[in-house]
Amino acid sequence: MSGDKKSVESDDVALREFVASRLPQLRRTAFLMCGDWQMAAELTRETLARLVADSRRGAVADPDVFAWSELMEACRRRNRRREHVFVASAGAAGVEAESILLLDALHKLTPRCRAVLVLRYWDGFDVDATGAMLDLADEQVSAYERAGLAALEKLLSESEAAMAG
Amino acid sequence: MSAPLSQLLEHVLEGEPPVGDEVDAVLRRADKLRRRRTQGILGLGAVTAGIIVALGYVLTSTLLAPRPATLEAVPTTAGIVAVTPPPLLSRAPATAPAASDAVLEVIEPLVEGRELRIVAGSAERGNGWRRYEIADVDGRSRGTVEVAVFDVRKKWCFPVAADPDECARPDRAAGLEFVRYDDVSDADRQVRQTIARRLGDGRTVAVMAAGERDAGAQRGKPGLTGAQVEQVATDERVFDAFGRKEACGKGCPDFSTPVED
Repeated sequence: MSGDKKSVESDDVALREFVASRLPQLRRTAFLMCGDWQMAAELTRETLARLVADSRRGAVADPDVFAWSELMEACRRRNRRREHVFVASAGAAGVEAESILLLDALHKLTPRCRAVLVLRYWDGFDVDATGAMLDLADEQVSAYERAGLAALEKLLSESEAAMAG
Repeated sequence: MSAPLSQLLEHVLEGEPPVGDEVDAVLRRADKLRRRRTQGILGLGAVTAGIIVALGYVLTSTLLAPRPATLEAVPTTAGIVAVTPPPLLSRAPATAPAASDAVLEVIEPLVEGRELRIVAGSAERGNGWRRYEIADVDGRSRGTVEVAVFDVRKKWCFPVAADPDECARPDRAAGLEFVRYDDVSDADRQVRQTIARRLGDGRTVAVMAAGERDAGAQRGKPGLTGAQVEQVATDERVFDAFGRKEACGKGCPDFSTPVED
């Protein structure tokens, strides 16, 4: 992902390509973090605009780390409360109950645990990259990951039991 | 649980809306952000420049402000401002000996040569006479020096203290004749006196230095020696210090040997 770092900094075409290639993934990450597609689109747009502007003046060392860390910080600022209401997209035909339960359980986690699980299990970043994006040590990433998985498994079990009952 | 979680998350995202022209929107927002930052930098620069100008104005006006006019500035023709200090109040009393006192100018150096001094403000004067108080370095009184001028008759002669009917034989020097009348026999009343007469016009000067009375032998010594008293009495400047029509009148000192009966 970071192989075209130099071209991103210097070339508008490369910047456009980078934005086009990262935008969908970033928007999905934002949705998992905030549960609202409209807000996710806005946060992604804001994050990538800052990335482009800073890249043009040579202030971005690693565009991927920059983009995801900026996005996570933007989500943290927008969604300080842990309670969350899932908002489906306007044109969505229907959302499965399991997906709603998962989103609900995900947003009952602490913001740090949620961010670590999204970056590690959805975006596929390793511990080192996740720590760099969230400004955490590797041990902290692992601790948040263990705690997040345990809490999520418990929440999902409780939800499934409630639905079965 | 990692594999199942990833798959579960994919299901959550199934209702994802289309991306559309988000890429162009991102680039437009980036341009807008850049313009806003540029304006911010320019605004910050303008504010900084304004602050610098304001500080410069304040500092300049503070440092170059005229001081309170405690002194009177008088412009000169050379364009240089000369400062005239305010008139000083004289710390000496009005009765202090004036610099124009010719008698004092003769006496003072002699007194100071003996490590004594004329007491500031002690000078007294009247028609035909002057009086000065003498003190030592510790401020203790050492008596007085009195000088008087007399307009004697043609048949006047130098008196003899012991016999009013006799005339003393004077010494002569440079158009003057004079007689010394020293009396230091009484330790509590020591006097050095000289009477001198100018031969040309008959003007007569009496000079008497008397020690502090009843203060013992040491402080009773006059402020001038007999020779110094003679020196003063035969100094032409002392004769000239008095006006032509002056004659020892009201308040005239009581000389040990009176000049006139």
